Amino acid sequence: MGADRALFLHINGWAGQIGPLDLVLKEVANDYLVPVVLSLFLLWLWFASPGTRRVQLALLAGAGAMGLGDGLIKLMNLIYYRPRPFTELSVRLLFYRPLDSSFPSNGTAVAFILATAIFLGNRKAGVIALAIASLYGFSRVYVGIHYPLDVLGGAVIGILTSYGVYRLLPRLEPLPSWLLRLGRRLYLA
Amino acid sequence: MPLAFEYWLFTFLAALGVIQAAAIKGGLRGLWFFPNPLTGRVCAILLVLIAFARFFLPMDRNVRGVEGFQQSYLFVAAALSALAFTLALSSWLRRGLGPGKAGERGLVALKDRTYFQALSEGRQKDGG
Repeated sequence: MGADRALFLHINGWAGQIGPLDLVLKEVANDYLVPVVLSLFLLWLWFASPGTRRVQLALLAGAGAMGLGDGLIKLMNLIYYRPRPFTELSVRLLFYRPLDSSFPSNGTAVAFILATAIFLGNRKAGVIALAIASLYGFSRVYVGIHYPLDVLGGAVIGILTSYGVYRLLPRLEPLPSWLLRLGRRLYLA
Repeated sequence: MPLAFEYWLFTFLAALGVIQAAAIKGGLRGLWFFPNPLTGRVCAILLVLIAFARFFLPMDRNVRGVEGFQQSYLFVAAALSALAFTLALSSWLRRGLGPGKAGERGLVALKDRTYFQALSEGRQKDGG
């Protein structure tokens, strides 16, 4: 925990030093920008490569992981509450004050669920998506609302749930095939 | 306007643009709003730009609002609405398209027929 705090103070210490960097990372850290961009990326893959089973399974995995990740984080928040950095330390806060548990980073988990699903559907697009998700996680530390460990926790949860659901899909047969068949019958998959 | 609705509108418009751009890339002519792919691309880019500008430019969005996972559910609702809108509008605008290759099922069938044409062909086939 000491190293986590030290790393937080180091990264957050850069805030307020370079104006343009603050401006960019404040926008990246925004609750809406990165999750929407990554969701749109996934939507684009679906229609840009119609009928590609790998993309279809990746999107199914992403949707399933979203539900699973949501439940998992809610459960973790019931068991463990970690105060936000700005309640414990002298922070250069560039963001509003969220009230929920600092660990794990909810937004980072969402971003990594989406980025991993994109990676599973299309490697090239996935590398870009994972880079965007990583920058998002970093920016949440920079603006002063998460410790690095919160972001790491969110990223691990996001990657593992998305990849886990993807690997689990063959064991859930015939449900995934049935869903895709239904999508094909409706001319949507 | 409540933030949840503004978020829905933002993602609806952006999804509309992305579906257009992706349909052009995937050759799904039945989903295009315009017969000319260049016009379609310009329209798609404009829709995405308008969506982002409309949501982010008028005010600072770093405020407490829609939480991470709730956002995903709202996004799905907006994307499905955008898809329904695309299917209806493109079916009307491109009604002169088709009939495409017989026997095709799924999204790829929309490469040469509109959604409503595909649905009606599918229903006729299923009916014998």
